[in-house]
Amino acid sequence: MAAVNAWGWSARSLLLLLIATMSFSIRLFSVVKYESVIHEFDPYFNYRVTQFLTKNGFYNMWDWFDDRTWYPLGRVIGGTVYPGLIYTAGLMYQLLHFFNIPVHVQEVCVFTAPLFSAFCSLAAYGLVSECWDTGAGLAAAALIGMVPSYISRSVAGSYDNEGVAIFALVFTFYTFIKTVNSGSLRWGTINLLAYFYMVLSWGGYSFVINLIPIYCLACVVTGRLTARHYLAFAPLVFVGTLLAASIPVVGFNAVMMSEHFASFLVAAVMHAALAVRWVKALLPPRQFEYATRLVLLGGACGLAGLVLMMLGYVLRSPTFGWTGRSLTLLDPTYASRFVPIIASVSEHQPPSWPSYITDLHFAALLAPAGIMAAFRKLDNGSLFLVLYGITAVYFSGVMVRLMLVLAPAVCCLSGVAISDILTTLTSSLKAGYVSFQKSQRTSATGEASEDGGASTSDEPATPTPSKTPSGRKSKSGKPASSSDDKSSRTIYNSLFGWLSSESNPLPAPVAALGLLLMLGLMALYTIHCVGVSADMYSAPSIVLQSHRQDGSFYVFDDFREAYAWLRHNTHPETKVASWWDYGYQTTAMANRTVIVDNNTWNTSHIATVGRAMSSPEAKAWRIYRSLDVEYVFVVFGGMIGYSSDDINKFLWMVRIGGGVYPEIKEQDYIGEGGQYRIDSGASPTMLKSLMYKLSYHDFAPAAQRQFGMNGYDRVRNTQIGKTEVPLKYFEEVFTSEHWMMRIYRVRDQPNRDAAKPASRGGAKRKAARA
Amino acid sequence: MSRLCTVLVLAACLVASAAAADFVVENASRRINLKNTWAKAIDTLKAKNTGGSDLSNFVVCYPESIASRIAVLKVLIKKEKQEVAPLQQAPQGAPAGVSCYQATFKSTVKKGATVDLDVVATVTGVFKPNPAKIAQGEKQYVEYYDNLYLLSPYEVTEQSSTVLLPTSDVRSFSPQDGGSKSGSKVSYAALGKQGPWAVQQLKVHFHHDKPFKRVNSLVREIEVSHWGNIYVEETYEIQNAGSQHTGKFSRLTYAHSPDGKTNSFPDVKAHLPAAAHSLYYKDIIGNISSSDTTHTSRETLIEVRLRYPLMGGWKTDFTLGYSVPLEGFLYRRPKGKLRLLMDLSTSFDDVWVEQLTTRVVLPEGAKHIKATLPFADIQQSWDKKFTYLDTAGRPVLVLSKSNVVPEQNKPFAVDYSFTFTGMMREPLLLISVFAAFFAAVALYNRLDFTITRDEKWQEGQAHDKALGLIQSLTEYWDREADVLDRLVRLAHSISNRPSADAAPASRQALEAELRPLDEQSKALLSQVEALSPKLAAAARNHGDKSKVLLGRAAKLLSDKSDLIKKDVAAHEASAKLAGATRQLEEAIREWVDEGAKLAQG
Repeated sequence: MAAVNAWGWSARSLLLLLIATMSFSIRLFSVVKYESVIHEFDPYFNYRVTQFLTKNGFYNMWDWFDDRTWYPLGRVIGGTVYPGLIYTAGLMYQLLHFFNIPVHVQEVCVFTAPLFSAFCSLAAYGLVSECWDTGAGLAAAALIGMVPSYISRSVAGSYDNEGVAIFALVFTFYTFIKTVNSGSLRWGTINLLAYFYMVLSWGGYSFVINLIPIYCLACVVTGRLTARHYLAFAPLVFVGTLLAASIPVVGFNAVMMSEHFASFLVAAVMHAALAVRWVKALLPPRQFEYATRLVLLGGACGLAGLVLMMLGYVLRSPTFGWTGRSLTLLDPTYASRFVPIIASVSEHQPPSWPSYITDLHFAALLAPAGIMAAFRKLDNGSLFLVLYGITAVYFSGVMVRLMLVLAPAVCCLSGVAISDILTTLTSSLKAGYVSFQKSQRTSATGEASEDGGASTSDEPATPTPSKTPSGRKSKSGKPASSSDDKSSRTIYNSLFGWLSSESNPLPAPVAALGLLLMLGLMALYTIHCVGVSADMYSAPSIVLQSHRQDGSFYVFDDFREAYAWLRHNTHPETKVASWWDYGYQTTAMANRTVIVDNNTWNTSHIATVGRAMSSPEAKAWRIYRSLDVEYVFVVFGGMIGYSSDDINKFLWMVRIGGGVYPEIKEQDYIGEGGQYRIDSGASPTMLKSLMYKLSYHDFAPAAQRQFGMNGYDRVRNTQIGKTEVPLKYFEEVFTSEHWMMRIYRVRDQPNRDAAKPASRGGAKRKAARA
Repeated sequence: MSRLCTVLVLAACLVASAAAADFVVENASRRINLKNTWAKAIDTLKAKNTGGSDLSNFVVCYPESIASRIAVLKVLIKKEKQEVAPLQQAPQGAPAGVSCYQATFKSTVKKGATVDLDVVATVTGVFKPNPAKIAQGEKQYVEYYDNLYLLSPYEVTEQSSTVLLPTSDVRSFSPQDGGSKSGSKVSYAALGKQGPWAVQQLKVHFHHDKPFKRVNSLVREIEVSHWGNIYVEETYEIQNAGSQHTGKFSRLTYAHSPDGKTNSFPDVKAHLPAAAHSLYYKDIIGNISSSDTTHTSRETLIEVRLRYPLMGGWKTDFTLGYSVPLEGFLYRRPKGKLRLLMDLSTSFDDVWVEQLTTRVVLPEGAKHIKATLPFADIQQSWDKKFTYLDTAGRPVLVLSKSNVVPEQNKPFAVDYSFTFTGMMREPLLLISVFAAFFAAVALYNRLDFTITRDEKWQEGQAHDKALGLIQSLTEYWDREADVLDRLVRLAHSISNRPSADAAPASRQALEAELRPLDEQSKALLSQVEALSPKLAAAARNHGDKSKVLLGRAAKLLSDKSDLIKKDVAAHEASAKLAGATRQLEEAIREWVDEGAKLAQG
């Protein structure tokens, strides 16, 4: 027995090691196909803060006031970031450099997310092993290691909070269940630290602090509350909240925001339930009844008062004490109605059905089976899995981004399902094989074998460990074999025996077919995940590739070309304006001050930029001059067919601008057919807007040379409405090779005729700076 | 110290002034080549020793504006280089703003003899753009200033000056007198006899059609690894040093107009060693995705395309790195010494480097380091670098030099000694760290960190030991289970009289297998008894059960044999005993399960 255990332990360790390696390496497609570079938008901010951290130390980061962004307001970095990711990478960097391993900060940042994905699959193994068994744990670890939804946010280079936060989430759950199962204070402390790390890492911690109370409430309601639940939950609520409040970005939100109220409420309920139980144990039944009545009456009054107070508090704030993003969770239509900035981000849209299949593949189908399995053996762990699965499904339906929270849940449940199915199938096959052997043996001696498929007897002398399912059954469920009505049982078995999970095996061919099918599905899943990882989620989005005829790649590196130009050929104190999407990239790659960036905390500031882009040239010029802006750039895809350019985002600039400045009316920009268009059917306001002019300045003749059609826009697949686009207040100073980035200088004075909006002070300011 | 200096300088002045009178330049022909992005002035002189003694020193002078930008100054006699050193102070009688150098001949010039000299000066950054700013597509005009005559402390009998230009588009040249322009050449044929220090400014204002590629700073790091590799990483800041670009930069014009690209350059070309491999080309925001390499047997040609084309005044930076093997760069010298032979500067075409820093990182533990350098004006300093697995740091020799042109990309040598043990240091370090780690873990597992050793702890210890013993008991139980199983099967297999007759014998044989084990198990049990009576009781109980089971199996066997002997058909006999058999099988399985549970505690 001991030998078998040791073998199992080493096999499991080896498997886990392989799974962790696989989780890490499946995320390296971006490095192999592209390069080791930070991806997209937000990661650039995190990268920049990490650079600051490694240069100036941990303490200075808290005090960092960033004057390179939100000019002229600036941003207090220490108080507005979740520092978990940055601290993690910073620590790893310092550790490596302590050992004189000269790794650049960028490499550390690039590989942080894959590394933590590997940790996450280990944590998932722990969680499912606690909730179910180690087999299911292995399956869940393998699934989560390559689930596309998670890969999308944790490929090498995707240096974003989610990269470490999903690990923190799963690990917190694991330690929580471990505490509940073991009742050990040591695990409780680890759980507390894990929760602290989770709060440090991601705003999604509110999911943790809501799910755990829901789970505890369910335990109270279903009467499975024990002291161990209290041991796990109470520190989390009390000390955990204190810890959370010590992080500047959370601060008093930890007690003021409605997101946290559930935990307090459940803590109260839990105390009440435990108190009742205690009193019940103290008092004789009759007195207990009286006491119950008394307390119920008093409690009802007190509760009513409390609820009224809370309602009062909640109603007093316009968002009912919820942040906009959280409110979107409860009311999916909230953002699109009230906050265009939230609505304009694609990851805040509700997901479509295909995205569930792309992101979860067959795990999405197996998860319900996992829920069913968990219900059959409902204990502390499986109840948690079920609740996690169900709440995560709801949240994922609201926002694409929260698919990320769903993915681990689905993987854990699918792990349970896969493990159960495989156990059933393999044990059926084995039982079939044994009975086949037996029947051969008996027929050799001329005896009819009388036992049907129902026999479970293995070779008596081999105490095999593969009897876990039946073993578990007999442990947790009712005694299976004693004193049934034999005949009814045989009939039942013959009809539905294969349905029940008791050790009634399937017919061997069915089991073999099922096993093949399962293996096929898992192979498909793997192929799908690898494909998705390689093709869909690995593009860094600052470098684009296209296939050439001969199979090689053509690289469009325009973003970095333009940012490098800004970095080297403009004055270091220059202010650069662009749409907020490019704010983080500009500060990180060009090291220039920007007006707005991806931390969309000030709507009116963003609206000002939106307004400038939507206004005619002269007015936009005045707005930019008033903001001290010297350079404006737009992203333009018309030359090479890059569709997420600023013209396609223009709708949001108009809406956000119009939300604050009523003179911008969306109606004015809508051309024929009620659409935003830039062709001959475009509205005159659109053709006069700065965005149109900056995008299409000089474009028509270039398109003529390129495509043989004057002013042909490849993205919109049409000829632009106005081909002559002269500029009077702006001057083209740089356009990247494929025209994707167009940088303009805001002129000191308008071109030639300085008659109309005379340059008051503008020139002087410029001269003073020079 | 300072007094000594003054004395030396005074002495030098005396020598110089003495020398001044002793040569007469009989013929001087100046050729100033401005075709490249730097100037190269070649003065071909015929000098006669008119003094009273043999001479071995000759003084050459330049206006300060040029002298301060001289990258290379060579004085050649019959193509043989002579030693040249700057003079601290200009000779007597020199006009203001003149810097002089003194050449020391290898062989003296006899009294009255003549010598043919070539004085070659390569001068960078002497073109002054005028107009200083031009728009895209406009031509770049630059001015060049020099002395029309040979600036010399000696009398010049006959001289001529020629300026070679890159284009024939010359806006102006002065002085006009005596000069003539033909094609891309401005020449002053017969300038006649001039006394010492003849000064007249020469100015040429012309169209220069080549972009001025200036590397503002270059840091080369050469890291030697004795495991077979030399890493070279070069970090450049490069700028277009021509006329400033002003106003609009139109991509349309740049891409499609014939003169849209004038005064700009999109790339630079480097000639790396043929053995270069693992090339990379990047800047601080990532790879620069555009470069072309061509490998030939003699060199690796890399065409480094910059992030964006550099218009006048624009700059950018990048890092180029590659590796070369040790062969061909590191040589063994006598007495266990090693010599590293690398190029000093960049291998880019048409660029000049304002500030060059070459860092040679030698392996940790290298000693007796000595550099042999091709130029006297290279500054040496020392640094330390910590990289992979370093504890004491690697010695870094830092060489710095300003104003370097491609012809100065000469090899330099670094001699040092490095032992085999030094090379094995890092692997040994790794091995010992891992060994220490494993040892620590092994030790930890064998140490006992219990704080209190009360009864409970004692019990726990005894229990653990007893469990270990019981686990060895399971071997015996396994054998018993095996025997039981075989007995049951034996019962199954009895189908005729002979086999029934043989049954008791086979049973005894099987039981006999167990007998020797009995003693051992008893001994084990008594040990368990001493440690944990509770476990011992359970184990004994378990053992007793096996005896009962053996008895039941024996009974089953004898029942079956009896039935067969009574001529009952085999299948009927089996049917009759089916109940008993199943019960026995069930009991055996339970017994085995119980044993497993016991062994796990």
